Amino acid sequence: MTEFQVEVDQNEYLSDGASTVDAIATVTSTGQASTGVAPRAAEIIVIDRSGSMEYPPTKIKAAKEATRAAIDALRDGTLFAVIAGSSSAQIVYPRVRGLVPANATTRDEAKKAVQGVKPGGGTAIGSWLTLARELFLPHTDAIRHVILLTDGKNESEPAVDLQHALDACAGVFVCDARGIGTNWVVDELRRITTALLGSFDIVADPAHLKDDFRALMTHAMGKAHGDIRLRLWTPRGATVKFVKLVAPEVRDLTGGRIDVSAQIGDYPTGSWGSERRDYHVCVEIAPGAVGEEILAGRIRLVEVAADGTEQILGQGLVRAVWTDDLVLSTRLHPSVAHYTGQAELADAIQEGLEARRAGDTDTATSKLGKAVKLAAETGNEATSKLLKKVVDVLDADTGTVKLKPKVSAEDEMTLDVGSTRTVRTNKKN
Amino acid sequence: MTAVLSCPGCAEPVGSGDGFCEACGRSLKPAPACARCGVGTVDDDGYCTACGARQPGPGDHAEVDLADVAGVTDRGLRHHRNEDAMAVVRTDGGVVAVVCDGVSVSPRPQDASRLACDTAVAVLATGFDPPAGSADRTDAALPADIPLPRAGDSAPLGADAPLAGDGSGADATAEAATREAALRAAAAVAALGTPESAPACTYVSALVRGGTFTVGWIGDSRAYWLPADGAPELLTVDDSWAVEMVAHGLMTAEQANADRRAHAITRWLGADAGPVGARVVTRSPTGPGTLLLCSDGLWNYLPTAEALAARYADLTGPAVDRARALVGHALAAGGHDNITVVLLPVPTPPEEDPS
Repeated sequence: MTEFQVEVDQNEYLSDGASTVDAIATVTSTGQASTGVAPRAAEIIVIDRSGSMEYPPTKIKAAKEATRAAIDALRDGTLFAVIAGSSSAQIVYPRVRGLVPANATTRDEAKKAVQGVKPGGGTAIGSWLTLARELFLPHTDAIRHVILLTDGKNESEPAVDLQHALDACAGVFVCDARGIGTNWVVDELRRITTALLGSFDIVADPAHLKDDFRALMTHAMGKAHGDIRLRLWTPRGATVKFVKLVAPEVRDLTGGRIDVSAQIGDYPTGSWGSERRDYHVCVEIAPGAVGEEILAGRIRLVEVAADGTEQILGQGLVRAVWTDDLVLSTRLHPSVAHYTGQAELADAIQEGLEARRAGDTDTATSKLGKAVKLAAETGNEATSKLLKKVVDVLDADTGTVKLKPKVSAEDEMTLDVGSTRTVRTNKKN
Repeated sequence: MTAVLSCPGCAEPVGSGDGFCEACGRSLKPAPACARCGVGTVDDDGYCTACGARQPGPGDHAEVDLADVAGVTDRGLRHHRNEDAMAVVRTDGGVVAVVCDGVSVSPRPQDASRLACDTAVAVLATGFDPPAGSADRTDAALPADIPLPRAGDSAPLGADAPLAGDGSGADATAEAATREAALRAAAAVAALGTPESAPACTYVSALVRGGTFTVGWIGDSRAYWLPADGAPELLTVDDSWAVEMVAHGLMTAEQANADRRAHAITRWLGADAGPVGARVVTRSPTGPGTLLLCSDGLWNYLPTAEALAARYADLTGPAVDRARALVGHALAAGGHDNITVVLLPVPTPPEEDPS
């Protein structure tokens, strides 16, 4: 059995009158799903077959090759289908509407069907996801996952259609997305994968797509738990300021809250294999008297089965103790400080790039300069490196930078995509 | 008709009058209401389900009432838990008591003080009364492999008055038991931790029999003698920075007490403390009085024997009321620390026969 651990890091001491409680909850899952009995999985690969996939033709070729590699990585018995999307969505495989179990025969048939996909038409991602949802619906007992590939902007349907699709699909399946080339929109894929609790990345060079898809599918096959939620209890009258995933990347989960009761809310976290994720929880409570101790939050990890039964996998307590000892209350917990910096870094990059696109050089320089400083301070070397492709760093310590006059679309998009990736505090490896 | 109910823990059917679930052992009594808001109930972790307030724990306020012998310990107003502990046990013809104060900056100080009290009081209670038939062996209740310090070895630092004991076998036994109790308590507390992470506490013990008592201490928890007639006396000498500075002639008492390190303790029980032995004082006062043990949560507000005796002289009623009143004095003065007071009359009046 997989074991889950919830550990809470915080400075529980508050000064007299203080009301904001911050805590970092580290959730670690270790071990394998019960050996021999692989969890039931359902996979749908959704590939873009819009007309632009032929410009250059290496894109559609790579997409097909990558899809075949992903099909090969399916574990025997996994229910699967392949969808091709343009202005509408079509099932490439199987021939009957539904999902079929993977075996040597179905894998071969599917790969042949993928070979026959012809590019043409526009991009309506909402309709693609809606079809995937329909195919998944009968399979409530399986861990449901989509790999989505697109090369362009979602321009063949109204924006509201995509939003409706996301609202309907949230909680039904997890979606990892890849943008191929540089004509797709970073914000769009970020919005899709934030709603559907998956990752997204840029694959600028079609040659890299095959390895990427294979890795994605292998990773998906390692998921042992489908619907895991962070359940937060707070005292009466408290306000949850935010719940954020902060490692391995920053993702605000606050808006995804499902109310269980007035004092309890669930924050879906998607599917889990063996991994570690850190969450930053911030709660506002009524201040207590010096010497008082209040439970400011109870964080539980809850697995919800298809039939609605729940199992508590772990728990951590967020406490608040009011003290008149300033030495205790003014100490910012290093993990809280670290992840607050990482979240600011992601914001600074996204705002800086947006200003740059809008031609606002001053704001772009100031925001990206701040990002350079934060990346250096928090030891985020990967992001520091990406930033250097967009700005010339004059002094990292003060965040003094100059915008590069010419930046490739790939470098800009790679920085944008990577802005939310964080480095962990090195407290616990 | 018995309502059909199920256990909230394991869902087994239970009767409406059952106190416990027969399947899983869970208590079926309704959870107590929150002591702060009165709206929620107390959850398994000890917090209110509505307002989140941590509920008073068993040690936050505790009282011992053994007729004329009493002890009260309280969390105070500024600490979020009570790290003090006390233990009081009547013996044949007397009483034994221990007060310990957990060191706040150490991990789990409340565990250290509790364990030290329980360990020491057991030794004091049994070591004092050797089993019948071995009365001629003063160390009958103690392990043979631990060399016992003799009464004659004792030269308590700072205790200027010569030992008031008459050097009889009874005194030697009391002092040996006092030292042994402290040694065992120190060993038990040391075993709780490592030098890097050491739960720690201070220690003061009393052993009263007839008109004689023996006090042992490590750290800055204190014992006072408050005679019915005559001058009160602070029996212990704090193992503190200020006292050491003065003892070594490095500072005047005024200078030392004004330093922010004044109250830092120099000896304690813990894995990081090295070997520590109790300093011991025995007295056989000429008249009756009260032996008072306390943690610094009390004496910070009544530092001198005279101030404490003056406050105590105003108190009337049963011993437990007087102990409560002294704790109340510290609370009224700010309650900045945990507070523990134990009152031991000398000689110990017999416990009233309840029949």
